Amino acid sequence: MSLGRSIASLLIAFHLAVIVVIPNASSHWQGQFAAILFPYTNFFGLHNKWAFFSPDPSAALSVEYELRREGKTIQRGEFPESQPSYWHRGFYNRRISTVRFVEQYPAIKEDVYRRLFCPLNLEADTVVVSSKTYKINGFEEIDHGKSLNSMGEYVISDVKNILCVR
Amino acid sequence: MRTLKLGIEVWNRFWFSKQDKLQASVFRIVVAAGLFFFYLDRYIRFDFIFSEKGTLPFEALKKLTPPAYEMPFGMINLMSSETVVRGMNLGYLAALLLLCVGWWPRALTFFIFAIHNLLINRNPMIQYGPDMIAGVWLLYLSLIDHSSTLRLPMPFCKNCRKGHELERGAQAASPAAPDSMGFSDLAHSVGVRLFQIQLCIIYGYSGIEKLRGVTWWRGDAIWNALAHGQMVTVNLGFLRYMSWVVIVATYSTLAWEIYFPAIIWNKKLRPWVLAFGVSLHLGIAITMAIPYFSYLMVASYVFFLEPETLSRFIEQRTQFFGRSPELNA
Repeated sequence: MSLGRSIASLLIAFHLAVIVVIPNASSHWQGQFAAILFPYTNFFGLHNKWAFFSPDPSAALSVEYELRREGKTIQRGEFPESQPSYWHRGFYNRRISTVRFVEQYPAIKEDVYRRLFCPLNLEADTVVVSSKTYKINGFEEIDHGKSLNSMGEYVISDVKNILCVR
Repeated sequence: MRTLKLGIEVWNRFWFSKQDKLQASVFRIVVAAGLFFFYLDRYIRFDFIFSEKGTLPFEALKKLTPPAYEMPFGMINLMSSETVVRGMNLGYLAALLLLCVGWWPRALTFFIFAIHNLLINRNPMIQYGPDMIAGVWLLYLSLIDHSSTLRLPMPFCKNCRKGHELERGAQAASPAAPDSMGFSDLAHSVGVRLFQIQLCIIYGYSGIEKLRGVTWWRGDAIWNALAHGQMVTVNLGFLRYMSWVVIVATYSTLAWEIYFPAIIWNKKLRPWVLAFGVSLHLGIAITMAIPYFSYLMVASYVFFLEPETLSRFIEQRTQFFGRSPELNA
Protein backbone atom coordinates (compact mmCIF):
# COMPACT_ATOMS: atom_id res chain seq x y z
CA MET A 1 0.00 0.00 0.00
CA SER A 2 1.34 3.42 -0.93
CA LEU A 3 2.09 6.05 1.70
CA GLY A 4 -0.86 8.16 0.54
CA ARG A 5 -3.27 5.30 0.94
CA SER A 6 -1.82 4.35 4.31
CA ILE A 7 -2.36 7.87 5.63
CA ALA A 8 -5.82 7.98 4.07
CA SER A 9 -6.62 4.62 5.70
CA LEU A 10 -5.61 5.88 9.13
CA LEU A 11 -7.76 8.99 8.74
CA ILE A 12 -10.70 6.93 7.50
CA ALA A 13 -10.38 4.48 10.40
CA PHE A 14 -10.32 7.36 12.90
CA HIS A 15 -13.29 9.09 11.28
CA LEU A 16 -15.27 5.84 11.20
CA ALA A 17 -14.54 5.24 14.87
CA VAL A 18 -15.78 8.74 15.67
CA ILE A 19 -19.03 8.55 13.72
CA VAL A 20 -19.77 5.15 15.21
CA VAL A 21 -18.98 6.08 18.82
CA ILE A 22 -20.38 9.62 19.02
CA PRO A 23 -24.11 8.92 18.60
CA ASN A 24 -23.94 6.49 21.54
CA ALA A 25 -23.83 8.95 24.43
CA SER A 26 -23.67 6.20 27.06
CA SER A 27 -20.59 4.56 25.54
CA HIS A 28 -17.56 4.31 27.85
CA TRP A 29 -15.35 5.26 24.93
CA GLN A 30 -16.94 8.69 24.74
CA GLY A 31 -15.78 9.44 28.26
CA GLN A 32 -12.37 7.82 27.83
CA PHE A 33 -11.51 9.56 24.58
CA ALA A 34 -13.44 12.80 25.12
CA ALA A 35 -10.30 14.91 24.78
CA ILE A 36 -9.77 13.65 21.23
CA LEU A 37 -13.34 13.05 20.14
CA PHE A 38 -15.07 16.29 21.12
CA PRO A 39 -12.75 18.82 19.45
CA TYR A 40 -13.03 16.74 16.27
CA THR A 41 -16.82 16.40 16.38
CA ASN A 42 -17.31 20.03 17.38
CA PHE A 43 -15.17 21.19 14.49
CA PHE A 44 -16.94 18.99 11.95
CA GLY A 45 -20.42 19.26 13.49
CA LEU A 46 -20.65 15.53 14.00
CA HIS A 47 -22.11 15.35 17.50
CA ASN A 48 -25.50 14.05 16.44
CA LYS A 49 -27.43 11.27 18.14
CA TRP A 50 -29.44 10.23 15.07
CA ALA A 51 -32.42 9.47 17.27
CA PHE A 52 -35.32 10.46 15.04
CA PHE A 53 -38.72 9.59 16.55
CA SER A 54 -36.96 7.64 19.26
CA PRO A 55 -37.02 6.20 21.80
CA ASP A 56 -40.74 7.03 21.33
CA PRO A 57 -42.39 9.64 19.11
CA SER A 58 -42.83 12.66 21.35
CA ALA A 59 -46.06 14.42 22.20
CA ALA A 60 -46.70 18.00 21.08
CA LEU A 61 -45.19 20.57 23.41
CA SER A 62 -45.87 24.28 23.56
CA VAL A 63 -45.66 27.25 25.89
CA GLU A 64 -48.64 29.25 27.04
CA TYR A 65 -47.89 32.85 27.92
CA GLU A 66 -49.90 35.47 29.72
CA LEU A 67 -48.65 39.05 29.64
CA ARG A 68 -49.71 41.05 32.70
CA ARG A 69 -49.63 44.63 33.87
CA GLU A 70 -50.12 45.28 37.58
CA GLY A 71 -51.58 41.80 38.00
CA LYS A 72 -54.13 42.11 35.18
CA THR A 73 -53.91 40.00 32.06
CA ILE A 74 -53.43 42.14 28.96
CA GLN A 75 -52.53 39.48 26.41
CA ARG A 76 -52.54 35.71 26.18
CA GLY A 77 -51.13 33.36 23.61
CA GLU A 78 -49.39 30.14 22.77
CA PHE A 79 -45.96 29.54 21.27
CA PRO A 80 -45.68 28.17 18.69
CA GLU A 81 -49.11 29.36 17.62
CA SER A 82 -51.49 27.31 15.45
CA GLN A 83 -50.21 25.46 12.42
CA PRO A 84 -49.50 27.42 9.25
CA SER A 85 -50.07 25.90 5.81
CA TYR A 86 -47.83 23.07 4.65
CA TRP A 87 -45.52 25.26 2.57
CA HIS A 88 -44.96 27.87 5.27
CA ARG A 89 -43.74 25.59 7.96
CA GLY A 90 -40.00 26.13 7.94
CA PHE A 91 -40.11 28.79 10.62
CA TYR A 92 -42.90 27.04 12.51
CA ASN A 93 -40.75 23.90 12.78
CA ARG A 94 -37.88 26.02 14.09
CA ARG A 95 -40.16 27.47 16.77
CA ILE A 96 -41.16 23.94 17.80
CA SER A 97 -37.42 23.16 18.11
CA THR A 98 -36.92 26.30 20.21
CA VAL A 99 -39.51 25.20 22.76
CA ARG A 100 -38.10 21.67 22.89
CA PHE A 101 -34.58 22.99 23.35
CA VAL A 102 -35.51 25.51 26.05
CA GLU A 103 -37.51 22.93 27.99
CA GLN A 104 -34.36 20.80 28.14
CA TYR A 105 -32.24 23.64 29.52
CA PRO A 106 -34.09 25.26 32.47
CA ALA A 107 -31.17 27.63 33.06
CA ILE A 108 -31.95 29.61 29.90
CA LYS A 109 -35.72 29.39 30.12
CA GLU A 110 -36.34 32.72 31.81
CA ASP A 111 -34.03 34.67 29.55
CA VAL A 112 -35.31 33.20 26.29
CA TYR A 113 -39.00 33.51 27.18
CA ARG A 114 -38.50 37.10 28.37
CA ARG A 115 -36.97 37.94 25.00
CA LEU A 116 -39.71 36.11 23.14
CA PHE A 117 -42.84 37.33 24.91
CA CYS A 118 -42.22 40.67 26.63
CA PRO A 119 -41.76 42.61 23.35
CA LEU A 120 -45.21 41.42 22.21
CA ASN A 121 -46.82 44.04 24.42
CA LEU A 122 -44.63 46.83 25.71
CA GLU A 123 -47.06 47.68 28.51
CA ALA A 124 -46.53 44.32 30.21
CA ASP A 125 -44.52 44.22 33.42
CA THR A 126 -44.57 40.44 33.87
CA VAL A 127 -45.18 37.36 31.79
CA VAL A 128 -46.45 34.07 33.17
CA VAL A 129 -45.31 31.10 31.14
CA SER A 130 -46.33 27.48 31.48
CA SER A 131 -45.35 24.38 29.54
CA LYS A 132 -48.17 22.48 27.83
CA THR A 133 -47.73 18.83 26.94
CA TYR A 134 -50.55 17.61 24.74
CA LYS A 135 -52.12 14.22 25.22
CA ILE A 136 -51.92 11.84 22.29
CA ASN A 137 -55.40 10.99 21.01
CA GLY A 138 -56.30 7.32 21.34
CA PHE A 139 -59.07 5.18 19.83
CA GLU A 140 -61.64 6.62 22.27
CA GLU A 141 -61.08 10.20 21.15
CA ILE A 142 -61.42 9.15 17.50
CA ASP A 143 -64.68 7.33 18.37
CA HIS A 144 -65.91 10.58 19.91
CA GLY A 145 -65.34 12.39 16.63
CA LYS A 146 -61.94 13.99 17.26
CA SER A 147 -59.34 14.07 14.53
CA LEU A 148 -56.15 12.14 15.18
CA ASN A 149 -53.93 15.21 15.03
CA SER A 150 -56.19 17.57 16.96
CA MET A 151 -54.63 19.13 20.03
CA GLY A 152 -57.15 18.75 22.81
CA GLU A 153 -56.26 17.70 26.33
CA TYR A 154 -52.97 18.80 27.79
CA VAL A 155 -50.99 18.82 31.00
CA ILE A 156 -49.69 22.13 32.36
CA SER A 157 -46.35 22.12 34.11
CA ASP A 158 -43.58 24.41 35.28
CA VAL A 159 -45.47 27.69 35.65
CA LYS A 160 -43.05 30.61 35.85
CA ASN A 161 -43.42 34.33 36.55
CA ILE A 162 -40.92 36.33 34.58
CA LEU A 163 -40.31 40.06 35.02
CA CYS A 164 -40.26 42.07 31.83
CA VAL A 165 -37.15 44.18 32.34
CA ARG A 166 -36.49 47.03 29.97
CA MET B 1 -0.91 -13.43 7.38
CA ARG B 2 -3.09 -14.48 4.47
CA THR B 3 -6.19 -13.20 6.26
CA LEU B 4 -4.49 -9.87 6.92
CA LYS B 5 -3.52 -9.59 3.27
CA LEU B 6 -7.06 -10.39 2.21
CA GLY B 7 -8.40 -7.84 4.71
CA ILE B 8 -6.15 -5.12 3.30
CA GLU B 9 -7.20 -6.03 -0.22
CA VAL B 10 -10.89 -5.81 0.68
CA TRP B 11 -10.31 -2.50 2.49
CA ASN B 12 -8.45 -1.11 -0.51
CA ARG B 13 -11.08 -2.25 -2.95
CA PHE B 14 -13.85 -0.76 -0.83
CA TRP B 15 -12.31 2.64 -0.16
CA PHE B 16 -9.99 3.25 -3.08
CA SER B 17 -11.77 1.88 -6.16
CA LYS B 18 -12.58 4.51 -8.70
CA GLN B 19 -16.12 5.80 -8.23
CA ASP B 20 -18.43 7.28 -10.81
CA LYS B 21 -18.84 11.05 -10.74
CA LEU B 22 -22.33 11.36 -12.14
CA GLN B 23 -23.91 10.45 -8.79
CA ALA B 24 -21.94 13.22 -7.14
CA SER B 25 -23.13 15.80 -9.69
CA VAL B 26 -26.77 14.76 -9.35
CA PHE B 27 -26.45 14.91 -5.57
CA ARG B 28 -24.82 18.35 -5.79
CA ILE B 29 -27.67 19.81 -7.85
CA VAL B 30 -30.45 18.28 -5.77
CA VAL B 31 -28.98 19.10 -2.37
CA ALA B 32 -27.75 22.61 -3.17
CA ALA B 33 -31.12 23.58 -4.68
CA GLY B 34 -33.02 22.20 -1.68
CA LEU B 35 -30.73 23.81 0.85
CA PHE B 36 -30.96 27.16 -0.91
CA PHE B 37 -34.72 27.34 -0.36
CA PHE B 38 -34.50 25.83 3.12
CA TYR B 39 -31.96 28.38 4.29
CA LEU B 40 -33.54 31.26 2.42
CA ASP B 41 -36.49 30.76 4.75
CA ARG B 42 -34.12 30.83 7.71
CA TYR B 43 -32.54 34.05 6.46
CA ILE B 44 -35.94 35.71 6.17
CA ARG B 45 -36.26 35.15 9.95
CA PHE B 46 -32.84 36.61 10.62
CA ASP B 47 -33.99 38.87 13.47
CA PHE B 48 -35.59 36.06 15.43
CA ILE B 49 -32.75 33.62 14.93
CA PHE B 50 -29.50 35.55 14.68
CA SER B 51 -29.91 39.14 15.81
CA GLU B 52 -28.93 40.50 19.22
CA LYS B 53 -32.62 41.28 19.78
CA GLY B 54 -33.60 37.72 18.90
CA THR B 55 -33.97 34.65 21.08
CA LEU B 56 -30.28 34.08 21.64
CA PRO B 57 -27.87 37.04 21.80
CA PHE B 58 -24.23 36.18 21.40
CA GLU B 59 -23.36 36.53 25.09
CA ALA B 60 -26.26 34.24 26.05
CA LEU B 61 -25.01 31.69 23.53
CA LYS B 62 -21.57 31.68 25.13
CA LYS B 63 -23.11 30.99 28.53
CA LEU B 64 -25.32 28.28 27.08
CA THR B 65 -22.66 26.20 25.38
CA PRO B 66 -20.85 23.81 27.75
CA PRO B 67 -17.03 23.90 27.26
CA ALA B 68 -17.04 20.31 25.97
CA TYR B 69 -19.28 21.31 23.05
CA GLU B 70 -17.56 24.58 22.12
CA MET B 71 -16.17 24.90 18.61
CA PRO B 72 -12.37 24.62 18.74
CA PHE B 73 -10.00 27.60 18.31
CA GLY B 74 -12.67 30.00 19.59
CA MET B 75 -14.23 29.88 16.12
CA ILE B 76 -17.62 30.87 17.46
CA ASN B 77 -16.24 34.35 18.24
CA LEU B 78 -16.42 35.01 14.51
CA MET B 79 -20.17 35.17 15.02
CA SER B 80 -20.12 37.94 17.63
CA SER B 81 -20.95 40.62 15.06
CA GLU B 82 -24.45 40.70 13.63
CA THR B 83 -23.13 42.21 10.39
CA VAL B 84 -20.73 39.30 9.95
CA VAL B 85 -23.52 36.79 10.60
CA ARG B 86 -25.72 38.53 8.03
CA GLY B 87 -22.87 38.51 5.53
CA MET B 88 -22.24 34.83 6.19
CA ASN B 89 -25.89 34.04 5.60
CA LEU B 90 -25.90 35.87 2.29
CA GLY B 91 -22.57 34.38 1.25
CA TYR B 92 -23.83 30.93 2.17
CA LEU B 93 -26.97 31.34 0.04
CA ALA B 94 -24.95 32.66 -2.90
CA ALA B 95 -22.49 29.77 -2.59
CA LEU B 96 -25.35 27.26 -2.60
CA LEU B 97 -26.69 28.76 -5.83
CA LEU B 98 -23.26 28.61 -7.45
CA LEU B 99 -22.83 25.06 -6.21
CA CYS B 100 -26.17 24.08 -7.70
CA VAL B 101 -25.25 25.25 -11.19
CA GLY B 102 -21.77 23.77 -10.88
CA TRP B 103 -19.78 27.01 -10.66
CA TRP B 104 -18.54 26.61 -7.11
CA PRO B 105 -15.01 25.19 -7.13
CA ARG B 106 -14.60 21.80 -5.55
CA ALA B 107 -11.57 22.97 -3.57
CA LEU B 108 -13.68 25.60 -1.81
CA THR B 109 -16.67 23.41 -0.99
CA PHE B 110 -15.36 22.97 2.53
CA PHE B 111 -16.02 26.70 3.13
CA ILE B 112 -19.73 26.15 2.49
CA PHE B 113 -19.67 23.45 5.13
CA ALA B 114 -17.67 25.66 7.52
CA ILE B 115 -20.14 28.54 7.18
CA HIS B 116 -23.02 26.13 7.61
CA ASN B 117 -21.49 24.81 10.81
CA LEU B 118 -20.85 28.29 12.19
CA LEU B 119 -24.42 29.38 11.49
CA ILE B 120 -25.81 26.24 13.12
CA ASN B 121 -23.64 26.84 16.18
CA ARG B 122 -24.73 30.50 16.35
CA ASN B 123 -28.19 29.38 17.40
CA PRO B 124 -28.47 25.68 18.25
CA MET B 125 -31.98 26.19 19.63
CA ILE B 126 -33.63 26.42 16.24
CA GLN B 127 -31.85 23.42 14.80
CA TYR B 128 -33.78 20.34 13.72
CA GLY B 129 -33.44 17.24 11.53
CA PRO B 130 -32.64 18.79 8.13
CA ASP B 131 -29.93 21.02 9.65
CA MET B 132 -28.12 18.01 11.08
CA ILE B 133 -28.34 16.05 7.85
CA ALA B 134 -27.30 19.07 5.76
CA GLY B 135 -24.17 19.53 7.87
CA VAL B 136 -22.95 15.99 7.33
CA TRP B 137 -23.82 16.00 3.63
CA LEU B 138 -21.95 19.27 3.05
CA LEU B 139 -18.91 17.90 4.88
CA TYR B 140 -18.71 14.88 2.59
CA LEU B 141 -19.62 16.94 -0.45
CA SER B 142 -16.37 18.82 0.08
CA LEU B 143 -14.49 15.58 -0.54
CA ILE B 144 -16.14 14.46 -3.75
CA ASP B 145 -15.69 15.66 -7.32
CA HIS B 146 -19.16 17.11 -7.72
CA SER B 147 -18.81 19.47 -10.65
CA SER B 148 -17.09 17.54 -13.40
CA THR B 149 -20.41 16.97 -15.14
CA LEU B 150 -23.96 18.37 -15.22
CA ARG B 151 -22.99 21.98 -14.86
CA LEU B 152 -24.05 25.08 -16.69
CA PRO B 153 -21.52 26.66 -19.03
CA MET B 154 -19.74 29.46 -17.25
CA PRO B 155 -20.12 32.82 -19.02
CA PHE B 156 -17.01 34.90 -19.78
CA CYS B 157 -14.73 31.97 -19.02
CA LYS B 158 -12.97 30.73 -22.12
CA ASN B 159 -10.50 28.55 -20.28
CA CYS B 160 -13.06 26.66 -18.25
CA ARG B 161 -13.38 23.02 -19.16
CA LYS B 162 -16.18 22.24 -21.54
CA GLY B 163 -18.03 19.25 -22.79
CA HIS B 164 -17.90 16.74 -19.98
CA GLU B 165 -20.12 14.01 -21.25
CA LEU B 166 -22.06 11.92 -18.83
CA GLU B 167 -19.56 9.36 -17.74
CA ARG B 168 -20.68 5.87 -18.46
CA GLY B 169 -20.74 3.88 -15.27
CA ALA B 170 -18.93 0.94 -16.79
CA GLN B 171 -16.01 3.15 -17.69
CA ALA B 172 -15.96 5.23 -14.59
CA ALA B 173 -16.31 2.63 -11.90
CA SER B 174 -13.47 0.29 -12.58
CA PRO B 175 -13.26 -1.99 -9.55
CA ALA B 176 -9.56 -2.21 -8.86
CA ALA B 177 -7.97 1.18 -9.28
CA PRO B 178 -4.27 1.42 -9.96
CA ASP B 179 -1.98 2.50 -7.14
CA SER B 180 -1.32 5.68 -9.08
CA MET B 181 -4.76 7.02 -8.30
CA GLY B 182 -4.45 10.78 -7.85
CA PHE B 183 -5.43 12.71 -4.74
CA SER B 184 -8.59 14.02 -6.43
CA ASP B 185 -9.89 10.55 -7.31
CA LEU B 186 -8.84 9.17 -3.95
CA ALA B 187 -10.75 11.87 -2.07
CA HIS B 188 -13.74 11.33 -4.35
CA SER B 189 -13.82 7.58 -3.70
CA VAL B 190 -13.47 8.04 0.04
CA GLY B 191 -16.18 10.72 0.00
CA VAL B 192 -18.66 8.50 -1.84
CA ARG B 193 -18.03 5.65 0.59
CA LEU B 194 -18.43 8.00 3.56
CA PHE B 195 -21.82 9.07 2.26
CA GLN B 196 -22.86 5.43 2.10
CA ILE B 197 -21.48 4.54 5.53
CA GLN B 198 -22.96 7.65 7.14
CA LEU B 199 -26.40 6.83 5.78
CA CYS B 200 -26.05 3.34 7.29
CA ILE B 201 -25.06 4.85 10.64
CA ILE B 202 -27.97 7.28 10.63
CA TYR B 203 -30.54 4.57 9.95
CA GLY B 204 -28.83 1.99 12.14
CA TYR B 205 -28.67 4.25 15.18
CA SER B 206 -32.16 5.57 14.57
CA GLY B 207 -33.46 1.98 14.57
CA ILE B 208 -31.49 0.84 17.60
CA GLU B 209 -32.56 3.92 19.60
CA LYS B 210 -36.17 3.05 18.81
CA LEU B 211 -35.71 -0.30 20.51
CA ARG B 212 -35.55 1.59 23.81
CA GLY B 213 -39.07 2.90 23.25
CA VAL B 214 -42.18 1.14 24.52
CA THR B 215 -44.38 2.18 21.61
CA TRP B 216 -42.06 0.72 19.00
CA TRP B 217 -42.19 -2.63 20.78
CA ARG B 218 -45.94 -2.37 21.30
CA GLY B 219 -46.54 -1.51 17.64
CA ASP B 220 -48.33 1.83 17.97
CA ALA B 221 -45.42 4.25 17.54
CA ILE B 222 -46.61 5.36 14.10
CA TRP B 223 -50.04 6.14 15.57
CA ASN B 224 -48.40 8.37 18.18
CA ALA B 225 -46.25 10.05 15.54
CA LEU B 226 -49.34 10.74 13.41
CA ALA B 227 -51.15 12.15 16.45
CA HIS B 228 -48.57 14.91 16.90
CA GLY B 229 -50.78 17.94 16.49
CA GLN B 230 -47.95 20.35 15.71
CA MET B 231 -46.19 18.28 13.09
CA VAL B 232 -48.95 16.39 11.33
CA THR B 233 -51.05 18.27 8.82
CA VAL B 234 -53.58 15.60 7.84
CA ASN B 235 -56.13 13.75 9.92
CA LEU B 236 -55.45 10.04 9.65
CA GLY B 237 -58.05 9.05 12.24
CA PHE B 238 -59.50 6.46 9.85
CA LEU B 239 -56.53 4.26 10.80
CA ARG B 240 -58.44 3.52 13.99
CA TYR B 241 -60.45 1.04 11.87
CA MET B 242 -57.33 -0.35 10.19
CA SER B 243 -55.05 -0.74 13.16
CA TRP B 244 -53.10 -3.48 11.41
CA VAL B 245 -51.76 -0.82 9.04
CA VAL B 246 -50.26 1.07 11.99
CA ILE B 247 -48.75 -2.09 13.45
CA VAL B 248 -47.27 -3.23 10.12
CA ALA B 249 -45.91 0.29 9.45
CA THR B 250 -44.36 0.48 12.93
CA TYR B 251 -42.62 -2.89 12.83
CA SER B 252 -41.54 -2.62 9.20
CA THR B 253 -39.99 0.81 9.84
CA LEU B 254 -38.16 -0.54 12.86
CA ALA B 255 -36.88 -3.62 11.03
CA TRP B 256 -35.92 -1.63 7.93
CA GLU B 257 -33.90 0.93 9.89
CA ILE B 258 -32.08 -1.65 12.00
CA TYR B 259 -31.20 -3.89 9.06
CA PHE B 260 -30.52 -1.13 6.53
CA PRO B 261 -26.74 -1.07 7.25
CA ALA B 262 -26.52 -4.76 6.38
CA ILE B 263 -29.00 -5.35 3.58
CA ILE B 264 -28.24 -2.25 1.52
CA TRP B 265 -24.98 -3.86 0.37
CA ASN B 266 -26.84 -6.73 -1.25
CA LYS B 267 -27.30 -5.68 -4.89
CA LYS B 268 -30.40 -7.83 -5.39
CA LEU B 269 -32.15 -6.41 -2.35
CA ARG B 270 -30.94 -2.84 -2.83
CA PRO B 271 -33.75 -1.60 -5.13
CA TRP B 272 -36.33 -2.88 -2.64
CA VAL B 273 -34.49 -1.40 0.34
CA LEU B 274 -34.27 1.98 -1.37
CA ALA B 275 -37.89 1.80 -2.56
CA PHE B 276 -39.00 1.24 1.03
CA GLY B 277 -36.90 4.20 2.12
CA VAL B 278 -38.40 6.45 -0.55
CA SER B 279 -41.95 5.48 0.46
CA LEU B 280 -41.14 5.95 4.16
CA HIS B 281 -39.72 9.41 3.59
CA LEU B 282 -42.50 10.31 1.18
CA GLY B 283 -44.96 9.35 3.89
CA ILE B 284 -43.14 11.52 6.43
CA ALA B 285 -42.99 14.42 3.98
CA ILE B 286 -46.70 14.25 3.15
CA THR B 287 -48.07 13.73 6.64
CA MET B 288 -45.54 15.45 8.87
CA ALA B 289 -44.64 18.60 6.97
CA ILE B 290 -40.91 18.22 7.34
CA PRO B 291 -40.26 17.85 3.59
CA TYR B 292 -36.64 18.98 3.66
CA PHE B 293 -35.68 16.16 5.99
CA SER B 294 -37.11 13.57 3.62
CA TYR B 295 -35.64 15.39 0.63
CA LEU B 296 -32.10 15.33 2.03
CA MET B 297 -32.29 11.73 3.14
CA VAL B 298 -33.61 10.45 -0.18
CA ALA B 299 -31.10 12.59 -2.11
CA SER B 300 -28.27 10.56 -0.64
CA TYR B 301 -29.72 7.34 -2.07
CA VAL B 302 -28.13 8.40 -5.35
CA PHE B 303 -24.84 7.01 -4.02
CA PHE B 304 -26.37 3.55 -3.94
CA LEU B 305 -27.67 3.70 -7.50
CA GLU B 306 -25.85 1.95 -10.30
CA PRO B 307 -24.10 4.61 -12.44
CA GLU B 308 -25.44 3.01 -15.63
CA THR B 309 -29.03 3.23 -14.39
CA LEU B 310 -28.59 6.84 -13.37
CA SER B 311 -26.88 7.73 -16.62
CA ARG B 312 -29.67 6.08 -18.63
CA PHE B 313 -32.32 7.87 -16.56
CA ILE B 314 -30.74 11.28 -17.16
CA GLU B 315 -30.24 10.62 -20.85
CA GLN B 316 -33.90 9.70 -21.21
CA ARG B 317 -34.97 12.88 -19.41
CA THR B 318 -32.67 15.11 -21.45
CA GLN B 319 -33.79 13.51 -24.71
CA PHE B 320 -37.39 14.04 -23.66
CA PHE B 321 -36.69 17.75 -23.26
CA GLY B 322 -34.90 17.79 -26.60
CA ARG B 323 -31.38 18.27 -25.28
CA SER B 324 -28.24 16.30 -25.67
CA PRO B 325 -26.78 14.59 -22.60
CA GLU B 326 -23.76 16.90 -22.71
CA LEU B 327 -25.60 19.34 -20.50
CA ASN B 328 -22.67 21.58 -19.94
CA ALA B 329 -21.28 21.59 -23.46
